[in-house]
This record gives sequence, C-alpha cells and structure tokens, in this order.
Amino acid sequence: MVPLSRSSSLFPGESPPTPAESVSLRHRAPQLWIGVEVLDWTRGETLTALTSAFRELTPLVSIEPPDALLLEVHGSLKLFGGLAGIKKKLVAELDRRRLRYHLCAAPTPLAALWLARCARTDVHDLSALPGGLSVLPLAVTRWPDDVLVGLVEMGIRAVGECMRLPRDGFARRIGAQYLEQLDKALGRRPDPRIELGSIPALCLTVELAAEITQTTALSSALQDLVARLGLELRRLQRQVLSLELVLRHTRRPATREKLQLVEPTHEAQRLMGLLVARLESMTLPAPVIALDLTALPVDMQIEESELFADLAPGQQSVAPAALVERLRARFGIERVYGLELIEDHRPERVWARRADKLLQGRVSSLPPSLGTARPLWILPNPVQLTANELCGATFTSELHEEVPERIESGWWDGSDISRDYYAIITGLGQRLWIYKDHATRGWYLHGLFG
Amino acid sequence: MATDALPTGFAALDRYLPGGGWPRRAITEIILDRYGIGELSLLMPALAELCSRAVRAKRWIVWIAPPYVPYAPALRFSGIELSRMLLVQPTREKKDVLWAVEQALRSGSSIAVLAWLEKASGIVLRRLQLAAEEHDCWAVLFRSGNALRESSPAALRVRLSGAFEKARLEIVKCRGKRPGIVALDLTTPSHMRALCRA
Repeated sequence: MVPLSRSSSLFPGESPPTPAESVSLRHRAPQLWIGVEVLDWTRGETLTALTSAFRELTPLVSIEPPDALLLEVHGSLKLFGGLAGIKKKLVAELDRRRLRYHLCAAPTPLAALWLARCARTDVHDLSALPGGLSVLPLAVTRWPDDVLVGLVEMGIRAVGECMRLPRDGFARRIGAQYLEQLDKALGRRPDPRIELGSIPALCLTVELAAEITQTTALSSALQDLVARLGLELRRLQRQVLSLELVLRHTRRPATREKLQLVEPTHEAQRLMGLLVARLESMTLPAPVIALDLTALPVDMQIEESELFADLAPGQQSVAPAALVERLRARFGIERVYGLELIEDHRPERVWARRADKLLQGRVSSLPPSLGTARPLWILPNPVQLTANELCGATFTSELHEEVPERIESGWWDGSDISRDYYAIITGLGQRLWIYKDHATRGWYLHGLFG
Repeated sequence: MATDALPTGFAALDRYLPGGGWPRRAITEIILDRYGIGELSLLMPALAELCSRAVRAKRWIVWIAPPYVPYAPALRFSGIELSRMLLVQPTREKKDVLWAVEQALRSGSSIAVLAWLEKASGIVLRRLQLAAEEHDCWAVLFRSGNALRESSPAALRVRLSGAFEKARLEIVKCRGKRPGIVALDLTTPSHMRALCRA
C-alpha cells in the first residue's frame, strides 16, 4: 500500500496552497455552474433543444453526452433573481418536456456534474468543494471500468478517499488524466468550456434496433447520423472542425471518441470516411445500443488553416489534408508525420518528426551538404553491437573508410556525445553506419546506407 | 507512352525500361532479401524529380511501414524536398498496411507511395494497380523473395541483389519487355554526377 504523506496528498486539508495555486485561483473570475443530469433515456436532439432553450439564461451551455448539460450562470444571477430564480426557469423547461432530472450547482463544471449525478445539495464555495465531493461514490466520475475496479481493489470507493492518496503515486498507478480531472473538479486546475457563440452544439442520436457487438455493423446507423448532421450543417450554413462520437452501452459508461479535423468541413461523406476509419480501429468494450454525434459548428468562411498556411487561395488544399486526417483517424496523430531538419551536430537530433504544419513550404534552410556521407536509413535508438557481431561472421570487419568521422557535440546541454563513426560493409553487402562511443567504449549501429 | 515513364537516373536502367524510365502510373515491385544494399539509392533520383513536381502540385510522397526511419539529412542531400514526405507507421497487421496504401493511392493527393509489405494477394495487388493508374501515382512496393512465388499484376517487378557499386537488378517482369539483368552502380546515379560537376 502506498504510504500516506500529508503534504503531497490530493486533499491538503489546512495546508496553504502553493504560490502558483493561490495566484491562479485569485485571478480566476468566480464561476457558478449548474449540472443538469437527465434521468430518462435522452436523445441528443433533446439535449440540443434544451441547450437552445437555456441559452436565454446564459451563453455558456455545454453538452455532456449522452445525458447531461452544464451551464455557467454566475453572470446571470442578478438578472434572473439569483440561483433560485435560474433553477426555477430550468425546472419549468424540463417539466414542460416531461423529463426526469437532477440539478445541482457548484463552482466548477465537473463538481456540478458529479453532484448532479448523485442528486446532492449545492456547493457554493470553492473552499467547501473538497468536503462536498469527498462523500460521493467513485462511480459519479464515470471513469472506465478497469480504473474503477483498480481503485476498489485498493479499498477506495469514494471520491474523498481518492483525494487522500499521494499525488505522484495516483498519477503513476491510476493515470495522470484522472488526477487532472480531480484537480479540475476541485477548482485547482482551470477547466475551460467553450463559449458557444451564436449557435449551440449539435447533438444527434440514433438508437439501434438491436445491440451491436461489431464495429462494422455500426456503419449504417452512423451513415444515417452523419447524413442528418450534414443536412443540419447545410441548413445552418456552418462547418465543423471537431466531432465527438459517443457509443452508449447498457450497463457501463459510454465510450467516447473525439475527432479533430485538419480543416473545417460540412461534407457528410468526408466526415463519414473519418468516422468509419476510427471505428474500424476500435474494439468495442461492450455491445452498443445507441450512438450520439456531437459537433460544434463554426462559421462557414474558409479559415486559414495553420497546417496549410502557405497555400494560395483557390488552390486545391482539401485532398492533401484529407489524406492526413483519414490516416490519423485510424492510426492516431503520432503515427502519421512529416520530417524536418534542426540545426544540431548530434546525428540523432538533427532531424525530428513533424506533427503539424505539414506540407508547409520548404522545411529547412540548412545546407544539403549536411547529408554528406550520411545513411538514408536511421535507427532512432542505436543498437549496441556485440563483439561477436563486430568481429564474427556477420561482418567482414573491413572498414569502408579508414579514417573515422569524429562527432563531438552537446556539452552545453548535458546530452554530450563523443563518437567515432565508420561506414562498414557486411559479408552480405549491407553498408552500415556504426560508431564507437568514447564514454561507454561500446559499438553501436546507427543507420543503414539503403 | 514516353510521358508515362519516370527517368531512373541510371542510364543503363533507363535504356532497358520501356519509355526510358520507371512506369509512372503503376506498381513497381522491388524484391530484396535484406535492407541496406542500396534499395533507397535506387529510387532517389526519381523521387527527387517527383519532388519538384510534387511541390508545384501540393502532393505527398508517402512512406508506409518503412523498416527504419528515412534520415532527413541524407534525403535532403539526395535532392528530396522534406515537406513532401508523409510517413505512416500503421499499427498492427498487414491489413492496416494495405488499408493505408489504398487510402494513399486513392486520395489523389499522393504523387508516389512507397510501401513495405510482406503478404498481399493477387486480388489486392490488382486493386492497388488500378488505383495507381486511376490517380496518377507511382506505387513502389518493397517485398521479400517469398513474393516471387506468386504472380503479380505489377507493371514492373525487379529483384535487387549485390550491393551499391556491384548492384544487380534482375528484371523479373516488365510490361513490353523480356526479363533480363541490368548491372548498376548505385553509388553514382547520373544526377549526382551532375551535382559533382557543378
């Protein structure tokens, strides 16, 4: 069991916040959030309609698919007769739609949501949040099952017990993103929600006739959803830049998949392609009973996308961007990348993977001579060679160049190297780039001449 | 058609290939038993040429599932424009690699696709061949010797053996030509000689 240390626990009790914390809290405008948890089966369209209705009260309404809304109401308190007045209006609208619900107010959005899920009383001050949240069962967080089971196995069942665990241990064993969520709920970390502008987020739902266990079987339902989104976007004259697909299951929290586009679009076909690519790469944790698609519409005007900043207007830019999006939808951002050169003498630091600004102009002003006598293949992590491999049968051990190239660099930043590089030819004709490291006296394979 | 050939940068090879170069809108299969014998050097002059076209047309040169990372300084030295390079490391299996290859070919935004793929059925290769034709893309597939046991719809199939100065390119299949062998010196393609003179 992790030893408890009072100073580093998530729940510092009376200990004063660190200077950084106190500054960020003091300068943050006071907020008051209301979480609305709808208890009945909710269609995304219902949430969208509620959002539109609630926007009379505040411009900051966000959808938490599949069943909740969050409203920031601090600025509207005076206008509508305090929290009680606002709640009355919310209740009237929800009752009119014959929905069953829980409402709860708190100074942070996540706290409001968690409290609403348990139908608790309101918490008005940041200082009262730790106390108010600590009694909540962990299930309100809707963290994935394996995370919750892991915590239960450690004997932890309530949010408060979580908060008493040492921070670093929690981040390491449970996951940094869950620590982040606790911090957000407690107001120790900002939790920005998007101001929705003139148009609320769109949320659409499709219920499935039968439980579906295979991702491939979801595509016709998804097609229907995307087609409706396309029509809605056309009607509003808007585009989307990000999407969230929520897969609802019967007895476990919904699965959420966020999709970020490289360029805004309103084309249903393109969105469909991306969503299908994402679906195909997933394994479903449980049978799916319904799908929600949430999108935040943006203005139709073509925004200058940073990724393709050097494209002249009128040039066809959609296709190269679309390929990147499609590949990333399936494999993830880090597996689809470009290359760039960096001014550094260390062979492993002279290049880098490039994740954004792909296709943009010329990458480097560094001279081509940088690549003189360099191999076309590089091993990101050099592989140590055994004496056997060097002198034995694999290598002819005949050095291609008698004089090694000495590379010594990096003494200023602590990652200094001192190496002698050789090009050698193996018995099979392969031309390799190897070096002798002066610090470890070991030999390493760093590249192939390809 | 002469316009459909892409000069290889190696005079002996250009003389052998119909139209004087790599078949532009088709699959070229390069079969080899090990890496590091000049397999990229063989393509560099043609890729450099494509880069100059790709910059104008805003198209990608896509590398799918390469065995190592292409080294940026050496690419640049070979006249490759790095901003056209798109690297894809598909996650798990063969089907992901094929999916990525097909997407890259069909998008119409790739001027060349280089892919390292072990197994692929004749039907799949035929689809890729059609996509390459249709979307004006040079598809280069690197495969091991096992691939020779199966037939292939590729326009050109070559087997690279030997290495660098003493490279041997066996033309296993070539549309409109008989099989043959071309001896190559991969350390000095013609464009590099031109660079050295200049």
